[in-house]
Amino acid sequence: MPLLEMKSITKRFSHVIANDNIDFTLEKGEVHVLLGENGAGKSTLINILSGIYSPDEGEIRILGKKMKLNSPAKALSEGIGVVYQHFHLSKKHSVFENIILNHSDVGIFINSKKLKKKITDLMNRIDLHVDLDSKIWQLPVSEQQKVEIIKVLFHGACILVLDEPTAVLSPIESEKLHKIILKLRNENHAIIMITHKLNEVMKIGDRVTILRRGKKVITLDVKKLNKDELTSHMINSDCKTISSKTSTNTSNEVLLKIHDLNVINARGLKAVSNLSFEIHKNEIFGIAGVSGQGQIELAEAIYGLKEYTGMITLSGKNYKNRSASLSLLEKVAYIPADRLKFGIAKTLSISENLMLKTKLPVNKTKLLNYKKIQKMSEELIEKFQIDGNSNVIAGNLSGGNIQKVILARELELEPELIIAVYPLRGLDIASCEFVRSRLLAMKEKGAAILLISEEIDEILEISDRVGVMLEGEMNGIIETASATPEWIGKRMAEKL
Amino acid sequence: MDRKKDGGKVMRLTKRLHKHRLLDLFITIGSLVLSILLAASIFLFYGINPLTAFSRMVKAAFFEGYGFRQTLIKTVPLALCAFSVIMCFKMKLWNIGAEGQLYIGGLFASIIALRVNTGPAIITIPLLLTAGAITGGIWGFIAGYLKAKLEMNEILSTLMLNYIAITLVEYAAYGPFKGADRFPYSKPFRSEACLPTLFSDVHIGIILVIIFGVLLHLLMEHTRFGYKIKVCGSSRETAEYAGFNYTGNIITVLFISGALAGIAGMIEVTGVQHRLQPVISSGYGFTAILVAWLSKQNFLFSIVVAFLFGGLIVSGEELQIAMRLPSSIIGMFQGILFITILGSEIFKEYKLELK
Repeated sequence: MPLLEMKSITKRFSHVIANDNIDFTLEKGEVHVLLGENGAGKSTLINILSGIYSPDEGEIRILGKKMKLNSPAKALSEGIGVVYQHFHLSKKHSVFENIILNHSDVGIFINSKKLKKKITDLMNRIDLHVDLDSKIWQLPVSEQQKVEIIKVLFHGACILVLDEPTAVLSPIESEKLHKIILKLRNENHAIIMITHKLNEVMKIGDRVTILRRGKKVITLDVKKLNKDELTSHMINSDCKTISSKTSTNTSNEVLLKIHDLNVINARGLKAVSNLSFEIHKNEIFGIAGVSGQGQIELAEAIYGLKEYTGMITLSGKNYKNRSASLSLLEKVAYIPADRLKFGIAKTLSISENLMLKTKLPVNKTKLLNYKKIQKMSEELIEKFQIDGNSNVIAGNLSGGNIQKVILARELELEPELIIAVYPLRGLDIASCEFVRSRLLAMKEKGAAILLISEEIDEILEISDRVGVMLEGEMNGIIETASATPEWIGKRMAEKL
Repeated sequence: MDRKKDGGKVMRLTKRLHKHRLLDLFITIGSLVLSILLAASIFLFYGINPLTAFSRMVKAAFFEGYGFRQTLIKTVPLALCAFSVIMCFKMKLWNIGAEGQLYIGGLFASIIALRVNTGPAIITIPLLLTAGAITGGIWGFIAGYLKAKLEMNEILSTLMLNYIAITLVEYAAYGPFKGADRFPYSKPFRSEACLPTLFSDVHIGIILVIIFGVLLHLLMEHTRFGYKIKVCGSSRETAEYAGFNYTGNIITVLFISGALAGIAGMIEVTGVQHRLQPVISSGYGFTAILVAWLSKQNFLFSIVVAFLFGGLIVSGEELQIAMRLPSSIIGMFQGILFITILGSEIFKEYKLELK
């Protein structure tokens, strides 16, 4: 009998199906990896398991017994402990205080001596040590992660769920975490791990379940698997034939040149290292790669939101470490990954959002010419088929319409370079087609386009060349005409 | 959002999908009626007929010569400080320091009025106004700079700067500027340094308020600058993505806010008190936060709300004198109004459902 069984789990959010009839099992003493792109439904599944969401359909059984996990506390008391990517620790309190928080042994008075002894015993047993008296804020991220692990184990978790645990760690720290995970597995704990790193799957996974657009693709035994098979399952079967390519030839004129680029991310780790490539006029350059290989940092560095070392030139002009300044913004369009946070001002109207990068028209008295703004907005709304009039608050729009507002604003300025990060994510088919056709139209007009996506078919469909990013480096560049999903998949997984 | 379990049924708030103007109006009127009922119950507690009390309050504040003039005079600092709070809130910043900025503006206007001979009123008054604006602005700038460069929470810094400002004024009034009669206030300003009056004791401050209100409305709703500030207030990331100088705008906005409150201080000393004394304001900078919120951060509407609040303060004095009620009862009324009106806002966005 499996330790944990999730049967036909379905979860809908209004009209989006986040989990569609997913089956998942977990045995004692195994590391079961959940693999999939962002938005594939991994987090939803984990949140159902941890009692944050309740499933619309399906059931959860632990050791054959049907369970109703209606709160995180309930899930933990049933032995399911989750370590989130963003830790849930109180920074101002000590390690000890965080570990005992909400523990059933703690009454009104805290018997520190007894509890500390118990925690120390646990730490000795699993050979994982943290100084109990340090305050959380004093600890580096990797230590905080250990605290989270000790915390859930101390609360009696036998099922440990790790949400992208190595995303915040350096390679050496990751190595150490792998050892801890294997040790826990050998102690008969069961571990569910979400990751984007295929190496990690091969190294410590026993089984892997691949999710795609809310559905389970397959569950595989890692021992009987090689990496190529894994990537071919990941990048999917229904890869359409390369279609709708335009006839325009790429011009020889280099528009964007990136040379020896290095970018440090918010956690102080190297996100982009020694990256070099060029994009020509009339060219779409796709960047493939699993999530978190430095793609976002690359885009932000080019747009000027992140500091970098190395050289970025646009039409031969260097613009080192400027912050986004208006003259350049007109030449570079940016479709950000996080549309709600970066792409729009949620509390302002569609018309105000459309004007974000335009020099607003004024009348003779230097006051804003609302008539003209209204007219410009309405033209854009019509041209880009945005569903809503110019006074609708942007935050109330659907994802697809928000994306259209961003596109309308960015593309209307006739940019020389377009940086599009996950431009099709979460859009319905009609909107996808619309966005694609817009990008192709801009290419015809002479723009250079940097298209970043996790979906290989999306990239193959419209790119002229494809580069694959892995761990911040460019792991091969190829003409789309001679590219195959296998060629790309292989380079997404390991350095060649 | 589960609110209450009730025999299997659950009360929950669900978001309204459409706005109903009539319903909004109904909710606002309903909350006003509720606040009046609550205020009435306080009068009943004191054994006073609420109807008599209310009619006396309205009469004293708006229909008697002296009271009406006082209401107008109190409208000025309330409205200017409300502008100051609203200005900051356009960028989602909280200026709790209008009181302190008012004191600083008043202090420096007084110092110049007392120590420098700046000639006729036509030169002196604009000069004092500028001095009040700049020094008040600097007080706001300090909080803005700390927020922009060190990410210090502006709520705390503006609040704390109040106490420094008030203490500085006390020091000046008890110390270097103490008048010849040994009371803790300065000698009166010379007449050129006193704000001209419109009629009786009502000074030209109310005209300035209307001018500033219109100018600020134009600045924030009809210029590129106002647009940028609104974007900054909506999302820092989006503003930086669009190339706006977010941290620079924090400093600018807090400077302008401080300047507006500083002008209120200058008007109080030159228009009402005509000398420097330890207490320049009776909490106008704090009451202004209520005015700003009740006027929904609209510069023009805030003048009307400031006028009504001015009346409320004046009627409080009437209650104290004629009915021997504690004047702090007005503080209770302000609180009741604030809580009922803002509390009702949630019903404009959400509806209560029994499921």
